[in-house]
Amino acid sequence: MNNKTKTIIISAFWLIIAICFILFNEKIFLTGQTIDLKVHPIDPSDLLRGQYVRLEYDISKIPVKKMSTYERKQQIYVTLKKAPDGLYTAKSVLSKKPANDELYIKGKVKYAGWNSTLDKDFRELNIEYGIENFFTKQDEAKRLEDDLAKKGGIATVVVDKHGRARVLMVK
Amino acid sequence: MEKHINKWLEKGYIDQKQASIILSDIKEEKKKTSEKAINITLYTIGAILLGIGVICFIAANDWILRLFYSRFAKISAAFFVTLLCFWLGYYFSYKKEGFKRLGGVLMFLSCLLIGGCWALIGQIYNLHTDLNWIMLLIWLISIMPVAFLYKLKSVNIFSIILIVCTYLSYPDMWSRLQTLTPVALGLILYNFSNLPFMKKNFTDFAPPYKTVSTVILFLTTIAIWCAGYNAFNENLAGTAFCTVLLIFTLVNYLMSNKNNIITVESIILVFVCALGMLLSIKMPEIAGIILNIIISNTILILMIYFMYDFGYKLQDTRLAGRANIFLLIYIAVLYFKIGYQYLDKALFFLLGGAILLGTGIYLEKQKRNRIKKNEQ
Repeated sequence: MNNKTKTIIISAFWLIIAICFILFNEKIFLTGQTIDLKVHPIDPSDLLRGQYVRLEYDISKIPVKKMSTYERKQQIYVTLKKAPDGLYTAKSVLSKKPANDELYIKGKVKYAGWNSTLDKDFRELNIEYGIENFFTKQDEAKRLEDDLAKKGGIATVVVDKHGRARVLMVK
Repeated sequence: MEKHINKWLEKGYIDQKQASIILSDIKEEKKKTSEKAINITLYTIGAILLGIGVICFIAANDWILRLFYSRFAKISAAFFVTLLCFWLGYYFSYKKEGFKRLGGVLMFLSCLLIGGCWALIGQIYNLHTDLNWIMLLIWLISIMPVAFLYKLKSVNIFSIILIVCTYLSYPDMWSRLQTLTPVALGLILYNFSNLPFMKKNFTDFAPPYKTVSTVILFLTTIAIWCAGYNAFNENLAGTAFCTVLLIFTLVNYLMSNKNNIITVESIILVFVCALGMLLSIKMPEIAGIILNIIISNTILILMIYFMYDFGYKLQDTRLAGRANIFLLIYIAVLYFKIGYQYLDKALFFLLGGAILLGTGIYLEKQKRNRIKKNEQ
């Protein structure tokens, strides 16, 4: 194999990886449904790692019955419903994909903890959905972080039929 | 070399005219070598700085990137620059005469830039930072063909760094394999370097893998020895992993040409696999501690001894140098483990200093004896 052929093969290989990587993510945007989720105020003492803002949603902490068993890192499916204010909230937490056509988002259990505001028969499930990072310019990230800390915000997220989600914007 | 020429002149092997010609050729050669070294250094540092600069630029999500309104335009621009760099590397390496080094460096730079492209895609789609290991894996997969097809040492070394980073950034790697995490990495790298196709077609590529794995295995064995019973963690995954690597080591040995070096390396790897399996099974504390001490020290002594042996037999000064460093670390740890606990503090420091000086004098004498032997 001559060197020109090797160069062409490697260039094509890189392009194929890039196209696959982009298509995998674009598919979510093309086939997904756009929803608005409430973003929680962020503790301003959190460090800004790199040029991104850490997001926490209303649906990141869901009360579940004490008897239900969820293990750390377990994959779960949270069905969503639209509230009167137009924002989406959690309807139920399932261990398997919903059988019907309900809108749901895929997540992983971080941990199950206690919350003094909840009834003693309930505990709080902390969940990650893979949409907890939002990349932006450094000064914009700082301003956004301050705004979120003071009054919270709304994140526009795209969720596809497999429950995979991507953040479009945060305001 | 000048000393040898003067000796030859004295002994009458060459005359004055020949000596002057040889000396002036040597001076010319030294000048060319140092100029080449400066060029390579400038090219390499320049390429690394450019690569880091581009990655930082992408990470900062700077205003220039934001001028590209569409995300496809951003990605296309980054890719265009990367491919341009890669093709320029090809052009200067293989088409243009006299710029092979520049070509190699540009190819290395393109391997850095492709990582920037993946980071940019991750940023555009706001991928979770827990998926960093996937980005690193894709980066590694992108550059391995460049290293192996063009036989570029710089890209090979960079790919080893990426292997280590990808491995360590895999989520919960430490909670899965615990103490065996670095042991597994060292064994994987070492076995990879001993694969038949590596030894046959990529003889220059195997040493960096071996170097990195030796350092990892040596330091990990020291840590395991020092941790004592705390190093033990019942871990079925670890036992299974070490068993697989043990079988792989034996198969690799049987398929090789079984020379002295390979035999010794395989014996040491078997001991390391045995240490790994030992650490992941439950056993009485005393038995565990004693077995840990015996196996860890056997591994360390075998590694140091054979690095010296092979280093001097193959006249590989880097191997012998590494053996020196390992011996120093081993003696220091051994001395601290025993001395600090049982000796009076003043005696501990005095004896320690005396041992180090004595070892230094002994090694210096050995070195001088070898030089004298070579000169004769």
